[in-house]
Amino acid sequence: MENLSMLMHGFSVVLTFENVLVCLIGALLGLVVGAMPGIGSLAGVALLLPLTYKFNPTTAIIMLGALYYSNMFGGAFSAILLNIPGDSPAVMTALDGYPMATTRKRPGQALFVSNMSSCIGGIIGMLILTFMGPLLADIGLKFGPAEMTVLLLVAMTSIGWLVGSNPTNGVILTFVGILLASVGMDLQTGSPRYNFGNIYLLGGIKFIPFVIGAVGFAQVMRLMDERNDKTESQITEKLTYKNSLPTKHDFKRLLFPALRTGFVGTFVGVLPGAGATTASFLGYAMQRAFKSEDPLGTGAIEGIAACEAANNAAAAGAFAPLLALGIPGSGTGAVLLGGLMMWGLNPGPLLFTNEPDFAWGLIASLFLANLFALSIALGVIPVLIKILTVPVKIIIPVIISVCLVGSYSDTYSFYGVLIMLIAGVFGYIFEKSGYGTAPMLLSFVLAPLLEDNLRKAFVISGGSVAKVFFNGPISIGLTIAFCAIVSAPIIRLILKKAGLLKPKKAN
Amino acid sequence: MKKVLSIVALIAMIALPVFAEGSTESKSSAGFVPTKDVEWTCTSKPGGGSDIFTQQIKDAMKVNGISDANVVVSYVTDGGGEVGRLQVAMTPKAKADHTILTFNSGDLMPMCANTDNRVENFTPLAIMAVDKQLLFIGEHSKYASWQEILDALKAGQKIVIAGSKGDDIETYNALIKELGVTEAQLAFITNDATSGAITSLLGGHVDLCMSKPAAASQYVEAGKMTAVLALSTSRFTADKLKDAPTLSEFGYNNVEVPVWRGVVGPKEMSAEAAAYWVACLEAVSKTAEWNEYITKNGLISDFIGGADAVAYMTQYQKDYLAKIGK
Amino acid sequence: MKINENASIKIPTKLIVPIITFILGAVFFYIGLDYGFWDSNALKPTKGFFPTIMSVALMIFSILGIVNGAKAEKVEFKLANWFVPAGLLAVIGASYIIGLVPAIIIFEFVWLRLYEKVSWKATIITLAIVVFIVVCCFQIWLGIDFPVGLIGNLIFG
Repeated sequence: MENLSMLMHGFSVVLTFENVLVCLIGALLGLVVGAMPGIGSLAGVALLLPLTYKFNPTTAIIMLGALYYSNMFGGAFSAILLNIPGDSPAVMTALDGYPMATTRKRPGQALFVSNMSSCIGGIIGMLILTFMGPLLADIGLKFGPAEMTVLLLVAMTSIGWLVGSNPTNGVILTFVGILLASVGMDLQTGSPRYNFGNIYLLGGIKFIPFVIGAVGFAQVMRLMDERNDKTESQITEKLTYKNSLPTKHDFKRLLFPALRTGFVGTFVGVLPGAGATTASFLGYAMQRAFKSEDPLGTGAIEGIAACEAANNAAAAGAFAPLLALGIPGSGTGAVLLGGLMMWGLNPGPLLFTNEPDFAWGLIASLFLANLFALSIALGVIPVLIKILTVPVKIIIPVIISVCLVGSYSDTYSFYGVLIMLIAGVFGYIFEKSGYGTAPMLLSFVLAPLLEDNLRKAFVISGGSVAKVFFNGPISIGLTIAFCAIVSAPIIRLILKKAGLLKPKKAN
Repeated sequence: MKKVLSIVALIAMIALPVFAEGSTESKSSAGFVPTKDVEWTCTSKPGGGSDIFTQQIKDAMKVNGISDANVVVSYVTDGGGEVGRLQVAMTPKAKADHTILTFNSGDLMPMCANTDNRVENFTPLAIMAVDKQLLFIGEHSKYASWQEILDALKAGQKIVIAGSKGDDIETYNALIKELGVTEAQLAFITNDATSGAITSLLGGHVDLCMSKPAAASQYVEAGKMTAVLALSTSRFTADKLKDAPTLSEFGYNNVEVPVWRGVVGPKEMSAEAAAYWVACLEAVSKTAEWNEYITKNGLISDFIGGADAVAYMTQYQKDYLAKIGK
Repeated sequence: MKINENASIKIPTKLIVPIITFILGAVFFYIGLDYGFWDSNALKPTKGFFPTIMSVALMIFSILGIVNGAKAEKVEFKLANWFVPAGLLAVIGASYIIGLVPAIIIFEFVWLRLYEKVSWKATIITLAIVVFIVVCCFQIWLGIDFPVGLIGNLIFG
């Protein structure tokens, strides 16, 4: 109850005319920037930091919080409408979002579902943050290198859920993603590897250009096949506001996946270094275990809801270690931490004691920003979906330019553009040959985390494998889960065989 | 297609530095004043020692009206910071006067070891302070003092230290050499920034954490971390750190790998701009805010500016290159 | 000069892709061996540990892929799809001379007006939107410096 009254106190800090206005502006700008490919939520907040210079610390951080938060909403727009994920969590959103917008011709609903799930996930995350903040942070600390290794192994193997009709192809690209991610500086030894003497490769293959290429640019290459289709656009019905609203049934479909993954996402967000991508990915993988009305990957509402709720919940969950311990759980948190410190606030174990106005004001502003972002998003959706009425032949050169500018902006050099181009051409060839690129992108994100934790765990255990996998109750639990996931297809196969044999015998 | 791509890639990579240096000489008027946003690159993550250092200078400049330039700090941590350093080194003339890089000995060492980038590609502006590391134990640590750790090592127990990259690794290497233990007995795990090491310590996954005073101060104050060994030739003077003994108190030689923290500009920075920034930094080193930062973080204030900074960094690089045999 | 953009070629990429990934695995494995596998002194894996294991796994699965791919039918590639990367390369090349923003504007114009032959009105509207996104959003607002090229350097340098 004390926390609730502190939260109320936080609201009293936030609910001044100036702060609300700033929160609104922050939410609006964050949404716009988040929607731009290449400028993911991270870079967006970093680039907009200077905007907050003119305010006092509390107002500034409210704006920053709103920016950061609504950025997570905006990332889904380009993923759903153009199949260009602006940042890594949106890779998952695109899997179902783009088919829903195009093949199912329900772009408005796809965006609504995505934003409403974001909002639900966010609120769950914030409520947990409010009532269990410091406790949550302590849970996060329990995940050391050994625990993280097993958790990430669980996550990586569940890529198997995503590979679709041809598992071998999916697994091949999973390993390709892992190897590509190992290019660059090796942290543990402090020396380069697989960089072929190139200074740019020393910095590794950058993810944002990589994903813009493998998904977005490859998509434009595919679009060339459709440009002379008789229909001037992909959407023939009138895209009125009313037509884009989700039905009651849609809402029912999104609610439970969003609630479920909201909880999971919050906890993933708390873990050191895991972040929103791992959360949205696990959320989606988890949805596979539950029933979805349409098969996942064909534009299922449940798929969009699961990953969007998870990634926003993770964004909220990441505030727990950030505020309670001063530890940025992810890159996103790190930028925000930079913002906090710019104002002379040292987030750390003493922040809640020394600066209660500030800490609770920030949490309260997150609630506010969440609602603002949702209402703005709902307002702009009808305008945004008009993008789909633009003829394909006009949209092609525009997306080429956006891919170019977006990938350039990520690295401030043509290095990003080259990665984008190469990833795009190969992505196109892969997809055409029956190799879906999603597993490659996901393993690319997760592999460095896995490797780093694995090697740290080995250092700590002195090379003992057993001490990594059976390090404590958390490790053991996760190891069991890992074994279950790996053996499930085999057991299922055996059962199937046994099941198939019986009727034969009966015959 | 692939061949064409690789050729284009090659041309692009070769062409980049050419264009960077190919700009014509501009006539700069005497007395430089920043006219646009200043991009200050930090090659370490927010929250780490380098970042706190950068933010302090920036704040001190702003608060004391030393410079009203709008400074934007950007974090470029790719490739262990090499990409950020290279970007600054190659900054074209048009932007060079408004580009600054936080540069310390922990940056210089991997840069020289792994790349062809050298101090000569920068305009050293100043060395602001010297920083040293300590070893900390956590709240619920198995060991309560350095003596206990030494005993445990002698008894064949495995001790794990978590630390950051760069100079922390150098210090660790010096430490195991002095103690005469193997990497397996006293192991070290590298994190991207000290905050990662602190996370491991607070979670009880490692025994010790190597940190400079600044990054640990909040946790020390909250009682979550305690300094057990000063990696320095003399004890620290700050209140919470002065109880940490040095190695010589245990009959070993002291291990100290001093980390200097400095600021550099791109090679193309004009002499006028360099003079301006050196003056700004010198003014910062005399402010009350700066002194507070120095004492609070157990740093040693040591301002070396302009030509002296160039000489210092060049000599340091020469010594280091000789040491690693390059 | 008329290019038949519907020209197509059938390539057995379902076989070629796993061959490429196999080669990738082999290259990473070969280089990885140099990086060492296990540091028996410090009792920890070295930087070659993880990639080497993963490259072996990649090679094994690639062989499965090759077996599957050998039976698969060829995939048809059309010339038109390759105009997209070709256009991008042209923009990159041109931006070294005239700068990125003008290169994008010329590219949009050439593509829309000369290649797709859309109306003047649509061309101009599209151009305006692209310029708005590139110049107003990315360049001015987000402060990203696009290269100005050789000519730009001569003028502003």
